[in-house]
Amino acid sequence: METAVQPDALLHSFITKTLRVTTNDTRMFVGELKCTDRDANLILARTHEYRIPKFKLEDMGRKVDLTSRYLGLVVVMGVDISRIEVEEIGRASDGDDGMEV
Amino acid sequence: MANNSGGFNDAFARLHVSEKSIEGNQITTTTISSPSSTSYRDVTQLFRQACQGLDVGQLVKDPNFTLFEAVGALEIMDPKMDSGLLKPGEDDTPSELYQPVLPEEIIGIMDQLLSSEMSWHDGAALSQTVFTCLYIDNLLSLNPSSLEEAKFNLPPSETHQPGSPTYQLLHVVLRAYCVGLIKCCERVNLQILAEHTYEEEDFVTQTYNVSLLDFITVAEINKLLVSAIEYVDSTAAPWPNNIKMALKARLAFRKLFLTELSRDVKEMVDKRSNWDGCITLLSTIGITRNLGTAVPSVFSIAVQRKLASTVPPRPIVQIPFEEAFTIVSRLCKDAKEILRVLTYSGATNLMTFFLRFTARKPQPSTYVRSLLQTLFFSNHVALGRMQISHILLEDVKELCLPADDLFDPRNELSEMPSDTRFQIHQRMKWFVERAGNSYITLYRTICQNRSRLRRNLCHLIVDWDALQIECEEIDGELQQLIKEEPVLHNDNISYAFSLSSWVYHYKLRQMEWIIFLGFELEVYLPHEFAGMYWYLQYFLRTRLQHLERIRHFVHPGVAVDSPLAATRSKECIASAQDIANAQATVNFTLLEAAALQELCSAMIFLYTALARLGLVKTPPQPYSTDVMRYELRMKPFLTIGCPDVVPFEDFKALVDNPDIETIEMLEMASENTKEGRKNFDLLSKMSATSSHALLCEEGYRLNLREYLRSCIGAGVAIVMLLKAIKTNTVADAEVEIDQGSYHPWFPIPRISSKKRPPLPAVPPTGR
Repeated sequence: METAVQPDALLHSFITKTLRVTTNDTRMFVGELKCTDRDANLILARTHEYRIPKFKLEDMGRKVDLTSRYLGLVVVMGVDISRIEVEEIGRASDGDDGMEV
Repeated sequence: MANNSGGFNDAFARLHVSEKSIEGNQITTTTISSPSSTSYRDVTQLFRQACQGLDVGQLVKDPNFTLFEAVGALEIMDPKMDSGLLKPGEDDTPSELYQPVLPEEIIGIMDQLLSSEMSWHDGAALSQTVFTCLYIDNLLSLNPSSLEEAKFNLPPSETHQPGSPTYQLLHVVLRAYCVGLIKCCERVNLQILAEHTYEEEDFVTQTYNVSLLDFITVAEINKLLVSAIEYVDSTAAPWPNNIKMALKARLAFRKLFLTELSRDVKEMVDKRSNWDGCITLLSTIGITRNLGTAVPSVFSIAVQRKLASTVPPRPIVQIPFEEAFTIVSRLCKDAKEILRVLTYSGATNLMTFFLRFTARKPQPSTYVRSLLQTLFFSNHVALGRMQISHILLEDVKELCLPADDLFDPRNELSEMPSDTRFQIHQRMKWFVERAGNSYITLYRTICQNRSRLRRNLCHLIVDWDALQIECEEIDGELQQLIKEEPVLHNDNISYAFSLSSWVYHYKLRQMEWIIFLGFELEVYLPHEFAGMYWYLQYFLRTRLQHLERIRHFVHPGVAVDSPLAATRSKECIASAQDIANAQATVNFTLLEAAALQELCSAMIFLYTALARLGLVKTPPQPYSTDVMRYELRMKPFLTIGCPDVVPFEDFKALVDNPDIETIEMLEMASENTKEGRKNFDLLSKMSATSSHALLCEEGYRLNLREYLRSCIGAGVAIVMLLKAIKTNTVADAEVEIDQGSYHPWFPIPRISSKKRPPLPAVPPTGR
């Protein structure tokens, strides 16, 4: 019983948080976690896709904007995920996040 | 290479995440914080371990999120769903955009673009058509906000030195064409969004957050096109004359087409339209079509990877040039034709035009049907210069011609609530507002696609039924106010009930259209035909009786001692001509309804006979019964007060007519087709004015010819059947329903012998 509750609670703490998920093809998806399961399949809402732009020699050392587009609700399969990151709101800007006490 | 992925990941963490291109309505409550205050913590290990602690099938989810919503989610890495997925071995870095050298290639690209544009007009999405052109993509990808910015961003090339003809070809000629085309798309989108059409069904207005040069004016773009034409014309352009002509025609067409697409209703009323110019240039484009060389490499589905789209990727749609050419030519001709409604010539004429124009096969394009709605009514103005109340009241007068006092302009001047004139005005004002809405909706509905028209009519008749009841009450009050003289009709003393009579007539017509459209859209199965024609015949018979009544009450008299008589203004008094016109309209409508009724009666007998002879069979209905099907067909009419839906048992007896011998039945059908034919012949001899077909005589006559063809076809089928019965060869007969060669409302059975080749369909009676 005890062991089943813990991962559950941990995962629940990620629900509705903004995640940045990197897939095996090096794209990133930033969206709000709605649902997950044993295989770490994720459903993300209001998702944006980010793709690394073509690196050109002349761009080296410069700040490059990622090309992004809006996709909405997406499902990312656990097997396709290489990295999961959770957004942390900096302490300086805690204005709109009343959930964290 | 080995540390590449790790390096990338680290790079991501430091990369500045740009959000600039996502604005607008797709996002409502995004709270992605500004990059400076955002940091991400890697939780891959933690997350995966926690997940493994879950049971199979156990979900951790937001309580407000339902799995039903998840059905609409795009599945990343699924090639059918994920437009951003690269094919195995595909490189994300697109190969450099091919820069054409030859003017023939430019002609080819222009024609390919026209095909793409017309595929869009024909219902595909921009992401499948215009946006797949890499030159359009190149032009729009930097989100230009001024004409200067709307240019190609191409790497320098040896073959394209600035100022050289090859350079000008791309950066002057093709650029102007592309800019013009994008703006044309913007105008079309604006028009379609302004009126009622069905998204995805008729047309896809989605632009994936790409601005279609919204901020650049048509005048600027026209100038750009003119300077491109001037360049092609100049001696600096070293191409043969036929090439120059081809390029010029395409640029000039784009300019004229854009101008036409940008006209407002006022300009159209002032007869400033010049669709003929577009049509002339199109013929030049058609002639010079073979000069172009296709450049397929400048179209790519990969563009969809960049579009903000919440739907799965869709394949490229590019119709052959010939097809696109037909679509654009028809669009120009249709757009020109609908301008006829602006020369208003009476409400009945207007309605005939709407009915005939939208019934055309293939149906006029979504753009044209949308524009027709705008012409009819926009900004509270009908036909660009009239009040809708005027058209509505004329429609009533043309058919029913109510008593003069209802339309006396002096009514409006009265401000004393106890005054009769004031009270009449109040009621007429109510009628104009209430019926006006239903009337506008009817016109707009007729502009919808055929399936939607049928479906929406099922809703409209409910409204018209309510309107009829409300108008009966108002009619009752009005007849007392004007002191209408009652008239003896069918052994009863009665009043005109002009307003509700008019409403009832329209309601009956709409009920007929619902069933007729059922035939046109092939909703019914052959074994239902007899029953559905029975209903048509029933509605038509009701309408005929109603029209007889209307004829009796055209321009009802009022009491000589009416208090209004002394102050009646002269202008409202109907002339002898007005009365004759209304009677002529009623007579014409009677003849038309009678012709249809005869043909419907023939069809009932014909299809009942076919069922009896076993030539039209009821297919197995494992999950249905005749009663259930009947209920389904009658559903739109169940709530209608009058005419009633007939109980199934009675209906069956009325359709099957078990007391009549089959031969006798077919002979009766033969009589009906002859009568019908006689009536349609009479109709064909009438002038366009008395047929109320001034705006669409050609389409109206074509329709009549199709009715006649159906009459003749039914006659032939009846003769064949009679012969088969008399020679005892029914068992050898075969029946095929012909939907195509006849009037779409009257499909005809083609009867042939299994032993002999089938007889050809009745040849067209001239087209």
